[in-house]
Amino acid sequence: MKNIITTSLGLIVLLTLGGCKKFLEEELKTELAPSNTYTSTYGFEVGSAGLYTLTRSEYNTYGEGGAFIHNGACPYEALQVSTDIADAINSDGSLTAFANLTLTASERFVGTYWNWAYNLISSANLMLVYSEKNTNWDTPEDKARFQAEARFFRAYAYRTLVYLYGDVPYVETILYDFQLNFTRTPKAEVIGHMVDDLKFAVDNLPTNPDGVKEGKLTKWAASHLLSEIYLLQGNHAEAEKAALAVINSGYYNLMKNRYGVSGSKPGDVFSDLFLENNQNRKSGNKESIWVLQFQFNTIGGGTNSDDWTRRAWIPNYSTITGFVLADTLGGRGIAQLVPMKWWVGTTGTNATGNVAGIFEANDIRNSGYNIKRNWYYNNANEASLYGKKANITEQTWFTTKSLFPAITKFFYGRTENLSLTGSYKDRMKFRLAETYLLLAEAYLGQNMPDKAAQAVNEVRKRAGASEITGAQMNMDFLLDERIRELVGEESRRFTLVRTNTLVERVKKYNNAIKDKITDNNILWPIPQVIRDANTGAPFPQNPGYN
Amino acid sequence: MSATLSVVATNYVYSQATDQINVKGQVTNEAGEGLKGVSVMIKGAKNGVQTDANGHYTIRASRTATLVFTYIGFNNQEIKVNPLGVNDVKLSGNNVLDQVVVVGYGTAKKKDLTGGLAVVGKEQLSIVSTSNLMDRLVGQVAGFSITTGEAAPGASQTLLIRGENSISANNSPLIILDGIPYSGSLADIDPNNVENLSILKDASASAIYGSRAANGVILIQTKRGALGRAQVNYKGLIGMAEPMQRINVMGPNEYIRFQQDIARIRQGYTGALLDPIAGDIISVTERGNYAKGITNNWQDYVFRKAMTMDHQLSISGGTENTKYMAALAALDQEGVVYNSKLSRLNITTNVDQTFNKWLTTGVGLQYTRKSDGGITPNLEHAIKQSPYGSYKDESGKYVPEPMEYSLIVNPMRNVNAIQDRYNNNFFLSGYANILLPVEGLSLRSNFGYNYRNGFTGTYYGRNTFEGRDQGTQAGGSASINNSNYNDYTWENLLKYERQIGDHRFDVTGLFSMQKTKSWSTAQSGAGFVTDDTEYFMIGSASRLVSNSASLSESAMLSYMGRINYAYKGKYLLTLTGRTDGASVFGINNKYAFFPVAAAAWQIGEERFLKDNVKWLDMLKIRLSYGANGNQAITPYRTLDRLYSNVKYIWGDDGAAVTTAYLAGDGVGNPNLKWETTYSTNLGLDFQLFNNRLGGTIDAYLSKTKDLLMTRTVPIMNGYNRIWDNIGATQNKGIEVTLNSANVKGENFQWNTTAVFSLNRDKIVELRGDGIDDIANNWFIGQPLRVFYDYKMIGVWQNGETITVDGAAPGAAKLYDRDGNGKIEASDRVVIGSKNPRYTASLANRFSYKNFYASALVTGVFDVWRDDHMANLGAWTFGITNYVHDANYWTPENPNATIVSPGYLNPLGHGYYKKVSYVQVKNITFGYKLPHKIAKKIGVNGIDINASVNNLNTISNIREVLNYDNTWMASYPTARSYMFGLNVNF
Repeated sequence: MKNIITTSLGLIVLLTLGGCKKFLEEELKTELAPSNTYTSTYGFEVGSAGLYTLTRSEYNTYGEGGAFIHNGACPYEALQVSTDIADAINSDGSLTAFANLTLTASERFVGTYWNWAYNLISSANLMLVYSEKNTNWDTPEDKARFQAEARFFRAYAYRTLVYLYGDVPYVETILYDFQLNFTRTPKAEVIGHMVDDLKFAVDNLPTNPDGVKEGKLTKWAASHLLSEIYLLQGNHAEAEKAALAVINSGYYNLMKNRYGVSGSKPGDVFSDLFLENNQNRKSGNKESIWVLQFQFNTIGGGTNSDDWTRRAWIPNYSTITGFVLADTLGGRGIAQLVPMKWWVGTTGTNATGNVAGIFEANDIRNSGYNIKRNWYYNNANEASLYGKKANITEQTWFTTKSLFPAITKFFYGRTENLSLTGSYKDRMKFRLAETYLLLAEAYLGQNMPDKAAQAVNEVRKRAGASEITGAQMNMDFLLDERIRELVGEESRRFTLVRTNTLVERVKKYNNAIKDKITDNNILWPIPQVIRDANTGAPFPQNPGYN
Repeated sequence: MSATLSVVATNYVYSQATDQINVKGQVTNEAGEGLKGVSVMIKGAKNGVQTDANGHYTIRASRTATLVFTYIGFNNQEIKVNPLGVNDVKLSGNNVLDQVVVVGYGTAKKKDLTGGLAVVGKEQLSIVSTSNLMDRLVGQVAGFSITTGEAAPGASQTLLIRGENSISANNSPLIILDGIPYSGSLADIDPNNVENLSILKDASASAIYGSRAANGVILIQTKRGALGRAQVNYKGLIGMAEPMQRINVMGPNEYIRFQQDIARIRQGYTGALLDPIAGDIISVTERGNYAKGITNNWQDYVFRKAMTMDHQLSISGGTENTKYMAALAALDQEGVVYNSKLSRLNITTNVDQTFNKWLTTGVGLQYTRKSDGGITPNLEHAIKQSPYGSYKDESGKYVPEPMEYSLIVNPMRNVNAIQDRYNNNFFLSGYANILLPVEGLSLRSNFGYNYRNGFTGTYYGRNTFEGRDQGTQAGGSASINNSNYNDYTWENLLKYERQIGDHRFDVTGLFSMQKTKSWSTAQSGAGFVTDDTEYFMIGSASRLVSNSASLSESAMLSYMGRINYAYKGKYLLTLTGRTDGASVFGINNKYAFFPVAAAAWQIGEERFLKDNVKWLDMLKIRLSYGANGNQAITPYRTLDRLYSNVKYIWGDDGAAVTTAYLAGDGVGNPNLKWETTYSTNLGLDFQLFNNRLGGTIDAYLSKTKDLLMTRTVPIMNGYNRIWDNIGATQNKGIEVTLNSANVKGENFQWNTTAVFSLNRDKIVELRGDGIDDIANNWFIGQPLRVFYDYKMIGVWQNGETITVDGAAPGAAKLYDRDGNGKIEASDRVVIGSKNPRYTASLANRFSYKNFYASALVTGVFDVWRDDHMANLGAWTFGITNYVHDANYWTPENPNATIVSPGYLNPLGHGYYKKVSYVQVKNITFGYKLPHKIAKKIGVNGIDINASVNNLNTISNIREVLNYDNTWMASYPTARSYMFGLNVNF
């Protein structure tokens, strides 16, 4: 009996040892959580930097460094093809369908752009949700400032969605109990929310661009974007006001004289704008309003998967015997995009057609520093060729794509690694020249061609081109001016969709698809994955796709 | 019906003054061979001896004593001591039935089992002569599939018992090493140390491990000491390996023609543009080599013949109170890919000590140290490289881009890097068996502790591409990784056994707790002064410095009760119930309960069969039904997390800033709970024809509910993936194992083991609304892992009427399901399952006098895989080398099976093939030196053998390096020729 009691007691002791509830609780120590990050001004700084990172990752191709990935070589180029500026000839497979208008709902970038935009929206929404809960701020203005940044990025992401897909679900919070029954919010309603977000941003972002870190948003960046969104909304009067606010702010002016890192190297002020490290204000650039930051070989400065725009616009010159890769020639190019003759012209080349192009002779944007037409053999091992001029022919331009007039905006080469795939030049997302052109668009919309001409002339004056009159000013001219000033920098598709000129311009200038394009091609299809996952409610596809 | 053995025993009297005499003898079997380990006890006393390797024994006993001979697998024999000294003992019994097997928390005789399990004995374990434990089991256990996705030395395999139950949670079986759950790599275990291995397959066998046993359990027992004289054993293996096969790529001329075809068809080049030198079909570098006639066979550079050496020395022995075993093993294995290798050192010791009549304890220690660093070449870049690409330049350095293509570069360009990788694995297990004062009641406490750490230091110097000097930037790139893991398990079992007449039952109660912790740190940097310091001066890195750390912890608490009841040894019943709590689940759902019931009936012992059917030796029917759980998801899925791996930068000379944003799967689900599998198993065990034919047939049906899955949700929720318990799956199958003794002569024996497994899995339910989840490729009524895509049914030929939009000759002919002339999303179909329809294996063992031979053939049938060779576009990107004799479409080759190089695959569909393959896994020849000759040399036994592993594979798919992974550049399966020597001292 005693034995049994002793035994039982011993067992009970053993059993109770393991009864603690805390034994099974989890503690997260290896990742950040919203509950321990969005609790102070510093935490919100980190979250806000996250929004910039997501924005920058639009240009990321294969996701090196763990960034959001498109997992394809030409995401951004998909916004330039099937318009009036460039052809895609034998290009990367991920781009062809966009150029040929054969894209389907399962096309890679159709899905990745949707995901990128909603990723940015949800991170912004998360910050907004927690900003309402947090009470621990360093200064009382912090809360509004972070909310303003988050709302700017939310509007910026919806801008891409609305341009590409039309009606998209509008969400402004995180749905912890997930839903499967989203419906497509009408485009006008989404744009209305975007305007509200940007107005809040204009009111609450910092005013002095020299008082914030390089690359950070200011009230003027929000105003510039607001102007474009008003144009999209059709509210030209407000668009005019928003653009004028930036132009008259006193902080920005078009660069007219050479500046910055160029030193005494040959070039002009326009080519200076695109030299490495010449985009931020500290370098003297007072024209840039918002700049996405990259930096070569620096942690936080992007990786080799970032910004393959360079490879897209530069010819594949290294396949020509007599050429070797060189940083002065822009580094390695693949020519995913081939410029169209009608705007770049055939002067200085041996291509057929004797096309004048849309530039005037004095326009510095057409100078040899900005559009390279003179290519010289640079391979010292080929004595017979070295130093001689290589001819751009119909074949090198449109068949082998090894030589054509190339815009130098994206040239990037480092002598240490000539076959670098990425580019580490900062990208000027908004610059004052575009603000002038948005102003001109606003005037055209209010049927004020004289004032529109005045705005455009500011840009033309800087470029050394002749001034135009109100009579010459119309939408076509404005669209051409946007090419002259902003080709490659702007998402051409967005501009043409906003001005309702996509089909007309393609029919006029894009021989490959002019007979194929219809109004259905103005929008991309809704990604198949989204339609498959949204089982709770109908999610109609855009017309023309299935 | 029973095996008999004859015993020859001698004894002699050397003292008549005392009652104690020395009794000496030998216990042999029918064939005259000594039986080792027969226990010889004096009846009524506690002391006894064991026979040595030849069956000899010596025992001191009184003249009037009775000796009891017991041997597992045989019936006991009791014999009075013969005063003259000759003791003949006849032991009879059925050695197969009485085989002792390891089951959950204990051992049992095979005849008493109610659950479905397979036992792998030493014979099966040693049939394949590789140094990897799992490699030795491929194909030999019904229902147990081992796939080697990466065939590098020391790489882990994918283990599956009875198919996959879970779609997203881990499907690996639970591994119990010496009674303690073990989560380390099985490649760390020296196969020569394994005494036996049991695979627990059905609900009842694994019920005792309920919480993690939904995927089955593998029980591994290490050899321990036994009573008797110290035995020393040496095992050695030496051999050479090479890749079983290579990829047959195009030769130089074929390659040029292929490039011309691409240029013609895809880019529309004609005339001079097609010329190798003057045209634009190959890069400038290739043109140079073409003109000079320089070609390279790239696979020669990356593959090699590799040596392996494996030695093991072990010593074991014991007295009645103390038993010990110690073993030391060293393995040095080169891999068949340049720079891959594995060195492994194993030290194993264990001691079992009996203190007094109620306390026995044991301690075991295993230590493994592995070293396997080295940067291996990129096989894909070797296979796809142009034959005219440049390998090395004039100064002997590797050309970074042999064909000037940045996506297929020089495979060897980083092999000169330094990489040190060490792994230590320290496993401690201890137990205490306490007999409690109540009769039949015992307490066993098990404690296990596992500590593993890994260190990897990598340095890319200036003799590599990664670490080269780049203009003003100093070269050299270093990284250091330290990973640590420890876990401890403490279990307490209370066992009560009782026999009342014909009723025998035992009751077991268990309480167990386990905690795991895994943490790691990593540092990296670039830009060093000199390569001499390797990665040891990482603090002096001038750029790209980054540090990181991570932590993951989990815990489990469990309570279990089991009752085993047997009536007359013929009617058996087992009931088990287990409650487990796991930290990975939500606060409301941490615990779950898993009950199991099993019954078995020894039909063969019933009078109506035993007396009437003479050819039936044993027949047993088993039935079990019950629940097991799965909690194998990564921790912290119930919590919200932010993604902060990417940094940003402000300005042109700013410092990096930390960022955080919500990732696509950043939102947690606080309601996550256990996944439960309910399985039914019906089994038949039989022995026929005087034990000439025996086997097991099992049929099972498993249903899993509350599957742990990430479900894709529309990203507008703020995230597009979240863990949830949804859906149900089902696995059903049949397993057959047959053992036959085909020829059982005096000199010649021939045994065969055939194993056949069939498993059919399917998704029963997803979200309760009957709707398929296309985004995740989950279809109700279809297998768990399927390919869902446009189905390619051929290639459009010239002159064929093209019935779909957008197709042209040379393009893939896709199945138009609705027949409307357009290929669109609704035309996609389920292509097939990624798991095989059947697997089978056949093992034959022959022995003639002292010679023996064996052969093992395994087969996997009807599994759908990616057909990479057919995907010309993705293999070559339109630029690289391709496969020899590929039958691709050109206008001149219209009846082709592979698409045209000009086919751009706008829909992005895949190419699939139903693959079957049969592998000759092993052929061995061996010779056991006759005992007398061995004695003359001074040893107890010598065994020499020669074998070849992975001799060849027959299949309907070609151009793969490893049939378990059809990616053309996976690490190749190695064919190895081994020579082995076993010596017993």
